[in-house]
Amino acid sequence: MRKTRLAIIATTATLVGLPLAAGPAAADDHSGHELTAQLSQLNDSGASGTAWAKIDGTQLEIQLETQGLLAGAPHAQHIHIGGQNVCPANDQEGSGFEGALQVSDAADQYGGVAVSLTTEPGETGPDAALDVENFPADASNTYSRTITVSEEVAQQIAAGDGVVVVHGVDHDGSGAYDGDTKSDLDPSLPSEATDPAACGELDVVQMSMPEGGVETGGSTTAGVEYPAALALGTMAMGLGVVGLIAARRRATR
Amino acid sequence: MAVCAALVVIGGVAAAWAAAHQVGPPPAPPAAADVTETGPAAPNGAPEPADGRPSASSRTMPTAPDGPAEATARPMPASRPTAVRIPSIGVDSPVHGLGLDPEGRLRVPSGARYDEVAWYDGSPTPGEAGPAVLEGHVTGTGYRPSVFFELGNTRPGDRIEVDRADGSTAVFEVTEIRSAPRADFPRVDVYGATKGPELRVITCGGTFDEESGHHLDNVIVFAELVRG
Repeated sequence: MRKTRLAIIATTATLVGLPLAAGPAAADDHSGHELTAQLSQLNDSGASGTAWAKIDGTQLEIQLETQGLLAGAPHAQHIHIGGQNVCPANDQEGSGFEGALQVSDAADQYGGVAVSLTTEPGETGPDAALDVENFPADASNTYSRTITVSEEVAQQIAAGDGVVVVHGVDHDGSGAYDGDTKSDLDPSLPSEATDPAACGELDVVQMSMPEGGVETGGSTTAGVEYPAALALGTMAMGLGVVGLIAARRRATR
Repeated sequence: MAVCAALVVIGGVAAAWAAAHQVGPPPAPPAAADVTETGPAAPNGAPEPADGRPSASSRTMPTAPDGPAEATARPMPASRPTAVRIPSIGVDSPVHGLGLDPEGRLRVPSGARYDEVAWYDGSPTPGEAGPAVLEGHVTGTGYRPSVFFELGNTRPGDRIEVDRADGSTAVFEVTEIRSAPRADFPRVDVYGATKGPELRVITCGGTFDEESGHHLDNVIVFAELVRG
């Protein structure tokens, strides 16, 4: 029994270990350097989303899916590092429009911008934080980019210190960024353009994440059981009926 | 003439018998069921509708207060899972470990263990911090139901008990049941980081693709550790 189990474990280790060891991101333990975040709304924006990131040396591969944002308006998005590396609560009030939370109001929680998640060809450093030309601008966005970051930033993100923040909230429901309150980041912009809409902490994933879904279905239950009995039975019935009709015709003639 | 009459009778009996032994589709979670349920439950072999199953008798845990969810229990030390029970849908299966294939996809139970539950051995052990991943088939060849045929019939609050190699049992409570197309699998929600010890139980259900010969939807049960 024990021997069998050992053999199974050894076989499994060989089967599983080989492809893992062959990969470039072979890790000492289960957790590679993958990170994920669940983005939830700030400022009652109604926005939500998920983030997935992978650190390989100084390469940051990141995918972001967001929903519930204001359509047709650019949504600046960044990885913040610093402060307590956490997100503020949705009901946290700030210095903005009717108590709205502005970006700097929560700086002690999520720190400053470390990576600007622009689309090509936007720059990706903190200086590009408000590069409105190169941010997604739909209500729902799927974003994906591989970015070279500094060694320090790579290590901080890999350690779980990164916080994803997506900006742009239409507080007054006008359908556009407007209003008298100015942005705390750039007085030439309305505050609505930069106020945080969603936030999620990039946490270290506790496994090497499998690709895609799982093929755990065998044959269909929507199919036909006992097809032979059904087919032959039906055929026999048909033949019988044909025979009966033929016999009857002959009899009546 | 007599031969023809006999053919009709025998054929009719055979066809009727076969028709009466059709197996219904596996249950879908409520949200999906609303969309896909077009008629009454299949006559034979089909599971009871969710509302019809006795929920009280399936709750055997001493402390299962209704109302607000219990706080997630503290993480347990690592120990491989050996068996899993989901009393509310009658699942009781040994558990074996499986890894990823060269494409990074989760291997699925096969051979003599086709109808048993597998644990993804790259995920945390059930009870450790993070999402432990269990998977099982919904159907097998020959159209027979497999171990997770009724997974879509679980409901929030149901208990999932996982026995572990160190002799302890991790008890989880279902928080959510989702149905997702395989082509748009919610990887972050299923495999992504969690604060506390959680469990993911995955199978297939829903739309069946005749061309590929596989179910296109995964049913995913999300659960949290309530007692280590």
